[in-house]
Amino acid sequence: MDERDRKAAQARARRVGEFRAELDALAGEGVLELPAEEGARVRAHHDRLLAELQERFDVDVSEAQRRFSWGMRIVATLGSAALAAAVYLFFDRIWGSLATAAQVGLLTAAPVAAVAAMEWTSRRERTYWFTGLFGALAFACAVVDLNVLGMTFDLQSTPLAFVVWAAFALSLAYAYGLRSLLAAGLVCAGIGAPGLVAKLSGVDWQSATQRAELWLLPAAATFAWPFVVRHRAHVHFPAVYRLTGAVAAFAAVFLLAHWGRDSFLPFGRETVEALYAYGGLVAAAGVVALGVRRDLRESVYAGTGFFAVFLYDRMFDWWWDRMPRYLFFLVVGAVAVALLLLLTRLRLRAVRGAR
Amino acid sequence: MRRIGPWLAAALVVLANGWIAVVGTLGGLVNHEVVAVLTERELPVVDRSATPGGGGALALQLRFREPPAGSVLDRATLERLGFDCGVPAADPRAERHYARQLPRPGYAVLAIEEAGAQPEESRLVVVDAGPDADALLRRHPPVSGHLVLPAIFAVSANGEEDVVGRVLRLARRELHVPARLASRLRAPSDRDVSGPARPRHDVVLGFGRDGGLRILDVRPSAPAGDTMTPAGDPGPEPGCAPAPDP
Repeated sequence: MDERDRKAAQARARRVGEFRAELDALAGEGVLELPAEEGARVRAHHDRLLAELQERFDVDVSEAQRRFSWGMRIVATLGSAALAAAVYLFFDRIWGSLATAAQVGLLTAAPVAAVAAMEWTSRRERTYWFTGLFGALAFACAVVDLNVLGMTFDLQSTPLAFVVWAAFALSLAYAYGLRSLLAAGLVCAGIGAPGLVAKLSGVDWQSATQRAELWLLPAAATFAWPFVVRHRAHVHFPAVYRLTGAVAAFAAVFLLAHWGRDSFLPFGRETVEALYAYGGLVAAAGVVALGVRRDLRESVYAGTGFFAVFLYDRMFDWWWDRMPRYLFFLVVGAVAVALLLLLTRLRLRAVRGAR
Repeated sequence: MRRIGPWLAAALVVLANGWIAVVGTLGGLVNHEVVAVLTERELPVVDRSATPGGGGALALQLRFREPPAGSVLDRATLERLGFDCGVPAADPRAERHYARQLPRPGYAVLAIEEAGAQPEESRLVVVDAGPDADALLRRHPPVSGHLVLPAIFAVSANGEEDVVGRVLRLARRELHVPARLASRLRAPSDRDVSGPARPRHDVVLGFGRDGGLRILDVRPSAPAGDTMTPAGDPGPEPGCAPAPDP
């Protein structure tokens, strides 16, 4: 099923619901009431349309269904975590009594069986609840698989494992349109790619991937990727790319603003920390501006959240030791009010623009 | 399956596992020329079970002592390992210069030294290091009982002292215990909750073709406890020694 079609179907179903509610409101206020025959025709048409959309795309046609969908998302997440834990603990229980060949066989079979279960369920459902659940289980099995095999054969750790996990998660994410697997694959790729470069450069790859400055390039590339490559079949994926990239980049900047000693920049520690602290503020504001201009909701959320984090971090750094505590929190509260006023004005401007 | 993604994912798992199994099996074929016998002081048991006392795999953690600062990892050795030691430690730029340098892989030579070891402490100590395993093996031939192991090295500068190098960790910190030997390590012992009353097992080690250590045998320690003995000879002769081909 094309993700675009499902998204369009969900949007249409939502519009129908809003249209009906508004029509009822207008009738109640005595502004507009459709003639009985036309009203019945419109209602019958919408009923048929909603039934068809639900049949073909399993969309939510009511507020109650939307709430159920959120509940199902939470249950699916918890379920996949519980299943992964069950598989891991079962293996753990029997592991010591198995021969090496049996261990290799089991470790290979577990993720392959989970992938087969994904394919089987995907042919029997339209919203991929169970497919997503088995997808998370397959990824967990693949991670456990390489980890345990590496330990069993006493192999040295390698960034290639992250590359394999990234390829595994991304191939399943694109096959079934699963956002959680896309995020997992991007994180693994963000560790594996710089790890490989570090290993080829002759330095310890594990230490390299712990240096926050080396996260910046993969994070920026992840954020920029959907601006370069269009995702026509997976319309939800660009938001995942941008959110993953933004969170990784801002987390790196935040760490460097506090532990500048590990920076590769040719400046003193204080200069490096100040650069990243103020650079983080500017970058977060830039991401918010980009998000508002291009209507990218996740970028606005990530940018606003990290702007607040960087700003409060700066205030703590400036004033915590110099002010009485009550005054410090008063200033923080005042800044929050000022930010709220600023965001309200921006929101009003956006509403006027929409009109 | 109509999609290519699941096929690709399944193929990745099978290929990666096959590659690990082949590389691991071939690399793990033990070269019996070099065998060292170490006790629980150097190789304490690590239970990899998620739940205490579970049936999971066991491993032995290789523990060693750092040599005194500057004695082994001096400036020349650190430069051979690839570190840029051009800035004197007393230079104001030194802290940042050395902090910028990432840890680097190389090889550490470990040998048994009783002197300076506390009763529960590992007697393995780093006696040499370098970037080339073959050169180190020529300098410390296996028959001398030295262990040449891949390790990660780091460098730093602390004020007036000279540039300080250290072994950040061994590349393989834990050795997998084969299932056939695990039961001997699980057996009840005189160990109490606060730690081993005395070392209770000796482990016979061999080098695999990939240069990594492998566990060949596990046997109860001699009554005297913390002794190092050649494989096949349970006598109390101390030292890390080569063993006859079994």
